[in-house]
Amino acid sequence: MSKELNLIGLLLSDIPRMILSQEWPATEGKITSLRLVGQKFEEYDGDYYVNIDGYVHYQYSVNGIALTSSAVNSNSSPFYPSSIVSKYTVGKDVIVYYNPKNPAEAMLEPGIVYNFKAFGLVSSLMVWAGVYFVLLVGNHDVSPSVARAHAMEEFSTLSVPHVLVVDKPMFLGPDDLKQLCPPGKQLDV
Amino acid sequence: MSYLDFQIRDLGQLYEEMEKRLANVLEKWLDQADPNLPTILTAHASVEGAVYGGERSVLLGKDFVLPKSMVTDPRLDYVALGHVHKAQNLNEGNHPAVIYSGSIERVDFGEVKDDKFSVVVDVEKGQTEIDRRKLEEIRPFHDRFLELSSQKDITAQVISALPAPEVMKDAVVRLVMEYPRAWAPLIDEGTIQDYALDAFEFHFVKRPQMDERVRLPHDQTVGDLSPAELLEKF
Repeated sequence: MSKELNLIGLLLSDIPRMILSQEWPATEGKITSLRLVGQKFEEYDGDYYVNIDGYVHYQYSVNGIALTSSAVNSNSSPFYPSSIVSKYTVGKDVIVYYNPKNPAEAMLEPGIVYNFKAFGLVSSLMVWAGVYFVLLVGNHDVSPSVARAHAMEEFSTLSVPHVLVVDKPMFLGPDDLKQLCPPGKQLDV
Repeated sequence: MSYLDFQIRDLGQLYEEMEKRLANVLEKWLDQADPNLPTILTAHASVEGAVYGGERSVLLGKDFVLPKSMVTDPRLDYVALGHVHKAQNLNEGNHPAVIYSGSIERVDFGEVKDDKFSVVVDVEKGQTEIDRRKLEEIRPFHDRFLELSSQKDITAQVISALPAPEVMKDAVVRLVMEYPRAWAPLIDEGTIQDYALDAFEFHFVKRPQMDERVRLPHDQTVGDLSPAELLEKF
């Protein structure tokens, strides 16, 4: 059970922050720089298009201490789509929401946003509801470098209960599958 | 590769060796499996005969492709495959069902017309019930093409070729535009991108067209031609 709680804690670490950020105090700030970065991508049929993401930097002060940040919302990526970046203008005054316990942590758009950890929350709730997972590592989960971790490595590293990661050819018999099943429940094999 | 201890550099030979080893290990495991229990094979791989979105078939050569015979062994009761985004059964009407459940969202424009499914399977020895459930309200894709015929008000032409903003909202939109290269400075891309701002993703693919340059035959020089002939070629 402690492993389950550890997992839930890990996955949930961002969720309370997203919710609590809606109650964070506000202060005035100013956009100091915007940077748009275009990346060229190939379509499946060989055509190209340019995708534009960007950074937003801003300054603000709390109790007379000058601070800077580049977080727009709760997403941990510093890149934001152009639809978000284009809402801001350099030199424009903005309202900055900061964590009262750690004023260096701030964002411009508090609240819940979808991200990987939110997905993790849903999957852990499914585990609790009695749905067990066999995760099969695919090409998008594998690093292009040899001997590097794949994207689902954490599940094995943390020995997450009721989740089995298949990352090499293997044979799973009834005994292996029963380990997916929590004590007290019967896996019908 | 280091895990498999291969000493092969040629891709074709490597795939051949991988196929041989996989076939051996699969054969061993199928022998080992309890014949009274249902047996499921799952793989994230391309299988011969599968169809990608956009009706492109899996071709031999570029990727490692599992032979169909490997996944249609009658000792198997269900084969769950991933990798190809288009939902399909590679062994329709036969046992075992060989199912690509497909992606739950459209991922590229080759999948514009594809429906998406989840699959609920009831597996029993020698008998498998498949329940494919169509996913509703998945992200819409809109794919448009425009060939500019006039350089007059290009922005208006582009906007009329795109869906209405409320249709584009939260959708993945692509506009492929062909135009004479000389008109490139007349395209106001900023206004067009702004028009599509509510789209989840907007791909503006520009295909400038260039007339083929007139080249003189090898045995002819510019000096051989009169000014009138040169003007005509120009």
